[in-house]
Amino acid sequence: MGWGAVDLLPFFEWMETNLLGQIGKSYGGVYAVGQSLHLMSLAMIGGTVLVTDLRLLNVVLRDVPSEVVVDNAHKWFKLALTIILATGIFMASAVAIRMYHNPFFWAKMFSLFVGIVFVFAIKRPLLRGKHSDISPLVLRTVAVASLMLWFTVAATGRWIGFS
Amino acid sequence: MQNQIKFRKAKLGKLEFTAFYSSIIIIVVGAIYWIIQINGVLEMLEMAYG
Repeated sequence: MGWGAVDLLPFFEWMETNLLGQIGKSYGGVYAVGQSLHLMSLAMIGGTVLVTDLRLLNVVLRDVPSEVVVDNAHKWFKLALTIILATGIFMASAVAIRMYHNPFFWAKMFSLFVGIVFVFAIKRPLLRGKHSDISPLVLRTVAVASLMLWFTVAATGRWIGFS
Repeated sequence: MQNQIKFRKAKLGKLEFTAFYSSIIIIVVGAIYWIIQINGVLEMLEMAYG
């Protein structure tokens, strides 16, 4: 599998043989800690996405201004994203060649990339100001798209383990 | 002052437009992806159990 003319297999082979990959392969305990942190940060991302998007859809925390909910959740989202990326690289290194041949790994990477771009280039700049200035239809559409994206990231991520 | 408000409104309008249409694309592509995946699983279950 490669993207156009770029064949990524040598990069994945290098990932598996480098120090990070070797640690992940040789020390089950270290891998387990990495995986636990990965799953905990996934849960944290899930929580921040749910609370933000369900607030935008007017389902939860209706007595709290949506600006407050969105701003506070975004801080935790950034922290969880940092941990998930760091532990994800570590975990993928240990089984890099297997990941390379797994279609759900690529589905997850693609949806994660789109999710990050969507949050930092579209959702965050839009929600930085007063939400009452934004059309409710736009707010709700953004919330549904965000839920769909992060659900896909989580589901394809879990599917990697069962394929 | 009025120019500033106009500029801010125009900027928000552009952002709203981008956010709305990119969200629609994400929802449609996501729905198609999951419909295909669920159909694949249903076909496999049918092959396995009839």
